Amino acid sequence: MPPRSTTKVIKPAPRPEKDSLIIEHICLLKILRGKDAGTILELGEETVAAGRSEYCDLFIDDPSASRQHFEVGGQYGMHVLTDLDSTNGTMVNGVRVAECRLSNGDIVTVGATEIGFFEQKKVRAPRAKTPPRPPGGIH
Amino acid sequence: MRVKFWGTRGSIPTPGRTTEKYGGNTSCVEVTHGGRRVILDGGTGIRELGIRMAGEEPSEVVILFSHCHWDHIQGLPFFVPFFKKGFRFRIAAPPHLSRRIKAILGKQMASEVFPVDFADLGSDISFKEMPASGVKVGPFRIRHFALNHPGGSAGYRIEAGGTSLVYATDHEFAPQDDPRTFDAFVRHLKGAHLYIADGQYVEKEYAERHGWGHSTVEHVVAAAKAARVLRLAVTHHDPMHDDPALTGFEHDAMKQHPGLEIFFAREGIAVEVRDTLRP
Repeated sequence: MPPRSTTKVIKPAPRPEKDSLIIEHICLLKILRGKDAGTILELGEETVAAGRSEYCDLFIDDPSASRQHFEVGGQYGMHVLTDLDSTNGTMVNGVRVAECRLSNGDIVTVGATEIGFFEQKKVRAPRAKTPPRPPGGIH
Repeated sequence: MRVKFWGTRGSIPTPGRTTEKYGGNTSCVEVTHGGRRVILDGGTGIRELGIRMAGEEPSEVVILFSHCHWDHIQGLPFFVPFFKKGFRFRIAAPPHLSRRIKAILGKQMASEVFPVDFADLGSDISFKEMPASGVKVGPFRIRHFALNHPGGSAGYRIEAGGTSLVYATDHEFAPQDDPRTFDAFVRHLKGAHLYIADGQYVEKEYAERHGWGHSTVEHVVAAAKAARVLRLAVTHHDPMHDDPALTGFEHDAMKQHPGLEIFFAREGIAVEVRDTLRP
C-alpha cells in the first residue's frame, strides 16, 4: 500500500488591497554642496530652469552661475539637461556638456555648487475617494 | 562644432534597464556646425536622430560610414528623413567602401527582409567617393584614413570653426603588439580637440579578443596621450558591459589619467568641441 500523501498545502498570504499603497517614481535635483545645500526641486513634466536669476525654479547662489544656467525637461520619459549657453559651463560627472540625459546619481556642477540628480520611489496612501454626488447636481 | 551621441553601443543593440545610462543603441554620432550636419554611422541610434530631424525643415546632410557591419548601418531602414522628399543625403566614403556601400545598403532593404526598397526612398540620396586628400563640405573639412578591422574600417578627421575631431571606431591597434599601426594612427590623431574612440574592451579582456578588430580603453588612452588630444570620448561599448561595469571603467580611467579629459559616451549626451580644456 503506498504511503499516504504528506503534501503540505500552502495557502498564499492574503494580498493587500489592490490600491492600498501607491508607488510613485519621482526625480529630483538636490543641492549637495554650495549655498542653499539641501534645497530640493522635485521634477515633473514641466521644464525647469536653474541659475542665478531669482526667477529660476532652482536658484543657484554662486557667482560662477549664469542667470539662466541650465534647464531640465522631460523627453521620452527621461530627464534631459540642456546648458543654456552658460558662460562657465555645466558639468555632469566632471564632463562639460551641452546636453545630457540624466541618470540616477549624476552630479551636476556649476562653479562651486554641486547638484545631485536622484530617482526615488515614493510610497503613498491613495487619495480618499470623493463620495458620489447626488444625482441632479446642486440645487 | 557640437557633437551628439545617438548610439554608443557596439556589435548589437542592448535595450533594457541595465544599459539605460550609457544606452543600448548602436553607433551613430551627429556633428553640427553653422547650421550644417554630418552624421557618422547609421546604427540603431540614427532612428531617434531621424525622428528629431523629421520635425525640422529638410536639409542637406553628409553621412559618413566607418564600415558596413550591422551595428553601423542597421538603423537606416528606420531613419525617417530617408523617406521624406526634400532631404538630400550625400554619402561620402573612401574608395574601397564607396564601391560597395550602395549595394550593401540596398541588400539591407531587399524585399525579402524589408518592405520598402532602397531605390524607392523619397529623399535624394547620392554616393560620392572621397579622395585621399579629403573634401570640403560647407564649413567642414573632412579627411579619411584606414583603420584596422576585419573587412576594413575608415576613420575620419573633421575640422570646422577652428576645432577638430577624430572619429575612429572599430579599430584594433595594441601599441605593444603592433607599433607601426599605432604610430600611423597617432599621426592622424595629432592635436585633435576631441577623439571619439573605440574602447570596447578593457585590458583584462583583450587576450581573449585579440584580432576581433577593437581596442581597449588602455589602448585609446595611450593613443590620446601620444597624440596630445584634448578630450577623449570612449564609445562602441561592449554589449556585455552593463551600466555598473561602464561606470566603474569610466571612474578608473578618469582617476588613473587625471591629465586627460576622458568620458564614456552616453546616449543623448552632447558636447561642444572646444580648443581649451575645462573652464
